[in-house]
Amino acid sequence: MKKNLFLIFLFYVILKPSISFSLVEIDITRGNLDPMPISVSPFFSDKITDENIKKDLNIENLGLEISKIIENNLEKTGLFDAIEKEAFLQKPDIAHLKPRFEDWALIKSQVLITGKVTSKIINEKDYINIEFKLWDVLGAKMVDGFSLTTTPRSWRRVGHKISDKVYERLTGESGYFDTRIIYVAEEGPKTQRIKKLALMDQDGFNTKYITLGSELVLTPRFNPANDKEITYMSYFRNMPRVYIVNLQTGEQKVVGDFRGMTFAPRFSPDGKKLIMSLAKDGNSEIWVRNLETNIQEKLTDHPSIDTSPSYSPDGKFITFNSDRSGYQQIYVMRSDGSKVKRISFGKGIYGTPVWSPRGDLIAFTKLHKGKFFIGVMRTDGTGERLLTENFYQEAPSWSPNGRIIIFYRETKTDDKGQGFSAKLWSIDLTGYNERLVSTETDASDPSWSSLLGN
Amino acid sequence: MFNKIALSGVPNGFNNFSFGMLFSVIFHGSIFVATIFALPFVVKKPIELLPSISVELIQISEQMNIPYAPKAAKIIEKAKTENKKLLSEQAPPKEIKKEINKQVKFDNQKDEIDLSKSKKIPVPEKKQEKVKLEKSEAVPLPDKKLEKIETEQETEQQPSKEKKKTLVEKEKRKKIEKQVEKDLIIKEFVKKTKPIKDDKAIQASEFEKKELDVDLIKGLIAKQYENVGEVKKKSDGITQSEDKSMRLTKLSVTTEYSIQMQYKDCWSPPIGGEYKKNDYLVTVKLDLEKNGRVKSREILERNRMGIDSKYRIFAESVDRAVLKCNPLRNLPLKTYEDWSTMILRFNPEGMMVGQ
Repeated sequence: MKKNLFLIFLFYVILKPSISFSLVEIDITRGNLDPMPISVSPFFSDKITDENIKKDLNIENLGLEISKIIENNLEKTGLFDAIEKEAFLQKPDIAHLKPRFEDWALIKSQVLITGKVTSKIINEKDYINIEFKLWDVLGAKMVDGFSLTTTPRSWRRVGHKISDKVYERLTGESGYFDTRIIYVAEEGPKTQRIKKLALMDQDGFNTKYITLGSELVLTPRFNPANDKEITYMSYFRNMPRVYIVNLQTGEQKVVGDFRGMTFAPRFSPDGKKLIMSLAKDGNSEIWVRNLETNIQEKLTDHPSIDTSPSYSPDGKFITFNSDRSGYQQIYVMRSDGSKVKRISFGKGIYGTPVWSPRGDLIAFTKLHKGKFFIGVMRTDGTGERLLTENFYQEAPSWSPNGRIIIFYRETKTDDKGQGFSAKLWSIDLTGYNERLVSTETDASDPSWSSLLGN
Repeated sequence: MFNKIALSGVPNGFNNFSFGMLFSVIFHGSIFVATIFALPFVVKKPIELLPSISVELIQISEQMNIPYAPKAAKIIEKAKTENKKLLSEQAPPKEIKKEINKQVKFDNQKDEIDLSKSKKIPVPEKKQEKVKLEKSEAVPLPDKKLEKIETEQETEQQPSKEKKKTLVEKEKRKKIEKQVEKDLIIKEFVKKTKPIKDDKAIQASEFEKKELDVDLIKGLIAKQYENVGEVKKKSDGITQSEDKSMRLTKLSVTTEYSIQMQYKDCWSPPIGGEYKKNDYLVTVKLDLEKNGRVKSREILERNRMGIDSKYRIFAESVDRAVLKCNPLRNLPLKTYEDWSTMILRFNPEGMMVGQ
């Protein structure tokens, strides 16, 4: 009997797959690449909160403003399409408690973001509490949400943090909205440009000028390990020098005492070293300086010009450009300067290589047939893709999630020397989502910070 | 006393020497003799040759193919009784059959014995051979092989017998030759049933006990018929079932395409993700009503969703697509039983969503 039962079971096990084979199976290998329609409901706030916030920030409806920040951030990615608020059928306060998903599905929304703003007084100081919820309209469920309390002045950052959360939850990648960009703000005619260091949020708001414009500044770079520290090149006693500035304290110091011109500085991923170029006697080599021990070391030793160094995210490799092969090309070497290997072999001149924070790609500027390109290639030089071309553009810098590249682009001057401008632009890795980054003045040499700390 | 005298007349050293020499000669002589007769490398054993079993390996497909298979089956059926007599050593020898053996000499006497041996191979071994036969793909025309056999027969027959025998005998011989052909076919099959690696000697009594398994031969022919069919299929190129893009379902091509197009519009995979080949495959089982409405849906990779957050996000996009495309349109009512349960495999491999 047991034997028979075992045999029956065995037959069942054997036949089971054949039964499942009889089902209709369909492969879906194509999807819709259009931006996902989302609804960002204005964040609800009661009357007391509105009055308090108006008193503190002079903003009529903070909840609405926060929702606009989120909308703007998500739309700029090219992955989301925010539905006009006029189309919403449900009031923000009720939607935040329990959305009528049918209403949101009716306006073709796949995702709904709701929130609530409440003012608080803690230790006689004004604070705001912001609550947010992310709803899957089709699935009729809440998929994410959080609540945080901060000072009223940080309300924009709250909007960015919510954007990061939504982006991460819907794309699977970390966000890049709660970040800052440092760049060189430019003013005046082309021949007499005034250049200042400027810092702003990634969406162009909250611009602050760090230098007065009396000295020429170039190539500012964030410390990846400390978003409150930057390095840049400026002139000191008519000699180009690399500086480090603490943005919180305003403390500024010259890096090293080199006999020659130091430029193109960049931090190591852990922020403990600074790598830069040193030009001396017509030759340029790459040096590294340990910021803790103040020991500096020469990494390259070649009669050609080696410059624009950039660390890999694990700190084990350095990419740089050199003209040792006759034309300027991109090279990769170990962080101790050994095993130098050329990786770019395409037609044209390659420069300003920057290693992606994800570690898989190197962004670069390419000059070919009089046109400038921003492109990416794998770290072994394969898979070169040119994302954008223009009359003049360079200095790519990666967003912290390695998805967007920011760079600057100059326009031609006309016959009268007019019409020149320099603007910041961003482009994503697909090459289709190219956007102008708004700045108060002309801008060049952007550098993207890592996600801001608290 | 003698010893004493003999030994007393010679010096002691000489006596010792002669004794030593004698001992040495005897000792070495014995070793030499022992070497000749006892040591194995010196001994010349008579070469004992095992009775040779000639096994001719011929693919059954060289003899048979589809058009020929029925013929062979008929031949075997006809030869069923004759073969028993022919192949049994104990059967009374008939003149004709002896002539056949003499005239044709296709395998000589030994081969005939071998043939009889091959008949006695146990069934499991025959099964092994079957497997080998199934694998055979080369299927030359049967006529060629038969012609070859005929020509061999002619060359051997012609020198002596044609001059002596009458026309009647010639006709007889032709009939006999035909029979030989039949026998040959049977032989070929039988030979194939021999295990190739079986070197064990089989006793004659075993041969006598067993007879030609005609049923097995029939089976082989039938199997060969199937094999040829398979080979033809393969030679025709990739079949629908082998081609993933043309995988057979119970739905018509237009219906399947319609479903794919509907989900293409409804599915918005998270574009920000990096999708490698087959890295993010989501399988959804749908139970549908007759109007195409989703009765129930189940993502089969639930476990991974709990572990891999990126995969979960991807699977959620699939779930949204299923809900967005609810109900499915343009499904044929007549074949509802076929699509009432459906497996959808969402795979972003074909999309450039990573970079």
